[in-house]
Amino acid sequence: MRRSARFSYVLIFMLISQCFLGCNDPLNGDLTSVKPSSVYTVAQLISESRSAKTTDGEHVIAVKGTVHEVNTVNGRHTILLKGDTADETFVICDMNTNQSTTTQAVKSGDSILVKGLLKGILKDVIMLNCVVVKTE
Amino acid sequence: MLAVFLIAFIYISDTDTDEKVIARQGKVSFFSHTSVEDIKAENNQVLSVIDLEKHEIAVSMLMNAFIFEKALMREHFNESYIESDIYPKAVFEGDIIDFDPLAKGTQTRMVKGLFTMHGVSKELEIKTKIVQDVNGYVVSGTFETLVQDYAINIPPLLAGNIAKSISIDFRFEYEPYED
Repeated sequence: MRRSARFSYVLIFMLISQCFLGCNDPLNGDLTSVKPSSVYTVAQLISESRSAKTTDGEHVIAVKGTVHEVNTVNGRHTILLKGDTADETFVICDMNTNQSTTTQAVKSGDSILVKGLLKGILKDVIMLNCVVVKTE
Repeated sequence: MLAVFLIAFIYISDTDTDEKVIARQGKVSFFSHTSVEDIKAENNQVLSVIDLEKHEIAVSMLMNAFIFEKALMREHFNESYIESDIYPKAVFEGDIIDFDPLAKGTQTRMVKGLFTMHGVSKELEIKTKIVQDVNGYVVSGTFETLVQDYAINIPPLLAGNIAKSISIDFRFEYEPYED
């Protein structure tokens, strides 16, 4: 009886610890206070993502570029940044849900600095949980 | 004579399907239901290209870009089940059977092709709704797939939390694409 009770306590402790760690994962929530590991231009980020220099693990990075488009496809606020590359490759920034008001003020052609979690590249570079750092 | 040229030009312009369309922000979501818990996740940056002339469709997604309700679910999904560091992408390449790119409105077609995820490739045949309106094509559908088909190992302790069959929804909005 005592042994099973001890086992139960350990199990409960493990579950609570795991939940606590999971719920407080800084990369899964608001990145406003997270310092980016690097700051890129759109062209640099596309180039380095293509050569897989930046895709080892997930990093919070910042990227500076010109807004190509702001949309709400799939009900999500998204900013597409364009670079100087000849082909139509963008940086897709899926905005954090707390950024809806900020994102609505952003317009095509704006120069912007966005911070987010770099996920990788398909045709475009994909970043999640993005927050606007600076708009010009 | 000029009229003949004009009519021929208009006809060629109207039937020219020698082009591709692209969806950069396609949505793929999955849902697992068990008596223990429901798990759902969505990926809103799925890439898809349709070759309108060849009736071919390609889909590619980053497995680490799925959004979960809980961080712990995302962690288990990426690290233990899908192993997204080893298999970062899932890819589908197939054909839209009897697809008419010029048909306005809705057409329901079967899409047949090869889906590769977690290093395992499997032939799929998916019933798909295709809508063409003034904004372009919208392709959507739902299908079920078995977890065991993709060599995903689920620890016995968590087996009750994850359904054997997962429901997958997809929706892609396409726009013209010149590669």
